[in-house]
Amino acid sequence: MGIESIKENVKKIIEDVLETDYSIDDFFNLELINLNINSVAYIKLLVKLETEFDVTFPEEIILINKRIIINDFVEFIVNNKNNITRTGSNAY
Amino acid sequence: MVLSYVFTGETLLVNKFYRLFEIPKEEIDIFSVSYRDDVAKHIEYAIKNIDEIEIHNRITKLLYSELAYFDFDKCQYFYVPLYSPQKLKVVIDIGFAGFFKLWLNRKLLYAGAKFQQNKFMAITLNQGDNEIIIEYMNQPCNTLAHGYLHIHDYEKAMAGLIYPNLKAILESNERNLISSYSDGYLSFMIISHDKDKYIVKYNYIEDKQEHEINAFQRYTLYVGEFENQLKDITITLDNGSIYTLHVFMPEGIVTELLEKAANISEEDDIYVTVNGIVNKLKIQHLSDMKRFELLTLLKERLSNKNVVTRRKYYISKIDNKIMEIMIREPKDCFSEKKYPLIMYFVDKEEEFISDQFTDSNDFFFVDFYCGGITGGGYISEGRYLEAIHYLLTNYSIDEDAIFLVGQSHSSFDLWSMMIGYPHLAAGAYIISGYPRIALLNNVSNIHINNVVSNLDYNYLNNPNIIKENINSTKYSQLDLKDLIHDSLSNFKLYNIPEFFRGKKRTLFPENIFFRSEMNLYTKSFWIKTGGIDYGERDMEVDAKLLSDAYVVVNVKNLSELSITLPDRINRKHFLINVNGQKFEFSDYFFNEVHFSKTASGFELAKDFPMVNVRKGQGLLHIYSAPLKIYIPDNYTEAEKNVANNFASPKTYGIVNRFDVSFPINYFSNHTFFEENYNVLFINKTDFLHDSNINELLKIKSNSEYFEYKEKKYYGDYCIMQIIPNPVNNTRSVLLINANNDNFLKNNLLLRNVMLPFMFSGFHTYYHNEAVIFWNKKYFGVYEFCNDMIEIN
Repeated sequence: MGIESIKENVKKIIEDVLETDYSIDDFFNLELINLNINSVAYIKLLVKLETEFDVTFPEEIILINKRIIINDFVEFIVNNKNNITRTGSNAY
Repeated sequence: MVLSYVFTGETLLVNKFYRLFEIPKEEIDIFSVSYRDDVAKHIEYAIKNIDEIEIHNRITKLLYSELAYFDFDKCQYFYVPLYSPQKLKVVIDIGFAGFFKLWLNRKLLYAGAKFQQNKFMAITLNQGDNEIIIEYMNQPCNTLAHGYLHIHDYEKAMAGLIYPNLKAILESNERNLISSYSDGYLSFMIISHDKDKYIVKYNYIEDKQEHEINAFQRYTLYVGEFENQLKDITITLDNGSIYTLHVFMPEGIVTELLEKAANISEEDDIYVTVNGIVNKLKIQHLSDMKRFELLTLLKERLSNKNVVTRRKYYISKIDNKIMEIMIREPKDCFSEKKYPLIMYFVDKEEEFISDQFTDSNDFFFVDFYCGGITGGGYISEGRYLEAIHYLLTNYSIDEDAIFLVGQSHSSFDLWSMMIGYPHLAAGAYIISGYPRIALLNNVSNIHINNVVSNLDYNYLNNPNIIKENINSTKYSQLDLKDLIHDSLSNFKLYNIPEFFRGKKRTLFPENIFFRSEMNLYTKSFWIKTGGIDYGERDMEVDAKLLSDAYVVVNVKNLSELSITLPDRINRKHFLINVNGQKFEFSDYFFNEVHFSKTASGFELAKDFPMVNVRKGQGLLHIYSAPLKIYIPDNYTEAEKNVANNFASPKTYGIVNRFDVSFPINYFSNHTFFEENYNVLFINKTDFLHDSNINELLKIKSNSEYFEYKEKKYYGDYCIMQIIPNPVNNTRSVLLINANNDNFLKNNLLLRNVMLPFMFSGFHTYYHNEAVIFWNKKYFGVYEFCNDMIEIN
């Protein structure tokens, strides 16, 4: 799975959980706390990301914290999942 | 992008600023009245090259500007151009964190150095262009630092059209003083535009001699002789206001006091108070003034002085923690009379309602901080109920005149309390919170005033959502226009005691609507239910006292119902209609009537059945009462981590730590089932070795598989299941076990125990009676006997 594909999947999972389409250029730099996400959706999102990508997020990512941006999840998945094809730009 | 702020008379929000430049913090002179020369040069450049200037536009969903990420060692300069079509008197609402100064048209308006501060000031805008400069320096640890300005029309402000009490705040003329201490010398300055000279007194000068000082002038006093004392240096202005300029808290004295406190035995009368104060002193973000106040109180308590203080302490039965509660008694309070209570669910520690409304002496004013932000329910609910019980037990409070106040996060708690316990309080004043809309009409018998603004993030899309969904004559809404969440939170802005004065709770309202999604909440005034029917997710009661002889009750999804009869019911002869079935009573002298549903409809019943209190809250029911956690004596690291995570669960608040720590015990010294406790067992393997526990389990397991509803599931698993405490059905036992240590480590629900906000409703994971992590998927059992269903 390539980085672009991971980004696409992460975006799709977020959109599914939050039932919102995000057509924002800077989507991956959005802070999680500023999405319209409640406590139920938040756990749902983490579970879906962990199970989809077979990763275990560390505490600094799963604690709802204003410094966490969507890209932090992408970055963690890329760095901790096997078989990542590093193609295209590194601007994830 | 170009910033263009124009004041047209409507409330204006300023939350984006031009960021001009930054300087090292060492270059700041906090007493400078004018800004640095290079600021003027930067403004001049900015005006000519505005497209090139960086705009600070990190705006959060709360619509203020985020300031937390700036370097602590640097001071930022922000510039805001503001156009006014005419020369105009306006009110500026300054909400800013950390050390900051604000100049309007080169005149210093305000300086502050608190964690977060709000100030309303009347100012005059020039016709045409106005220049606002903000000097800002971030404070370490202030992860929530933020800033905004609101500009309001002065006439509207004075007429109460912005906030009800803004006029009084503007007229109170609270002074702005800044001070700094170094090597024995204390410098200070008064920032004031309406008065040039002040006659003041200092508390450290024994003869209390009066001194004349000028506004905007720096004064320096030598106070080094107090460096080794626990001492505050205060100044009294000619209007009688006292301001603290500096506090001395020598390390040696602090250590000595804390050592003395540590040696107080549990049997000593002052043990609870002393340790309560010591706990407060451990708070990280306590201001120096508050720390000084607490140390002084500690010193006096340790000297066994009978000090008059609003700070009271008691031991919580939930986790044995010493809780603080601030109590201001009514003037000339005497025990024969019962007084109304105004209790604030504290949102930010050490900001108290009992400091305000000092002219309202006919109420008890109480501040209680539950320990964090849960958004309602669970531990915070337990803490609030316990605090109210403490107040009713120890003070002369009228139980029918309990009024609750919530603000921001604590307003979520308050909504949830009223929805779950509609008969608890006579009234509520809610500043910027949000309820579970589906259950909103539970509160229709409570006098509520709700502060709402169209720019408050809770009501951004629909400020009328409560009004449109509530069916209550006791609900009122204070609609404020164009104000962001943060600006709403000053109590002084509202007539809170006036709203409550004269109101009372009635125990027998004529109409009750009650809906519940959790079996923990089954009572509303004179109606009690036996819980939600099996297979259903909620229940509903619509009950009416139509006359002294006729009661009509319509219910949905429940099978047991109990009605407490009011005195006014004619016991000689009355009628109760339940879902269309009429029950006639003659010479009935009991206080209650019980009904139970059968296949053919409702019938009279003698007993009221036990309710499955776990339904709806599921696994999280363990946080509804005191909790003891047990792990094996030879525990693994994973087991211990899970225990720690449950002992101090996180919340979904902006600060997600809740101040609770449930005790962790070992299997060998267990007294497993105690009447008053919920219990949590964590075990890497299974519970088969302990027949006491094993026979209670709904999901059985061994090292190879688990079994539910006679089906075996092979492979690695982790099971969480909650069952009744065998010695008390209202208490629960949560059992967590796995046949693979990694499944304790990797299970997100065990790594990140996070209490959800109540207004969000059903939690697809935690609100089940069982959750199984198996085959890399999570499965839920909403209530036992249901099938195990994958959670998506």
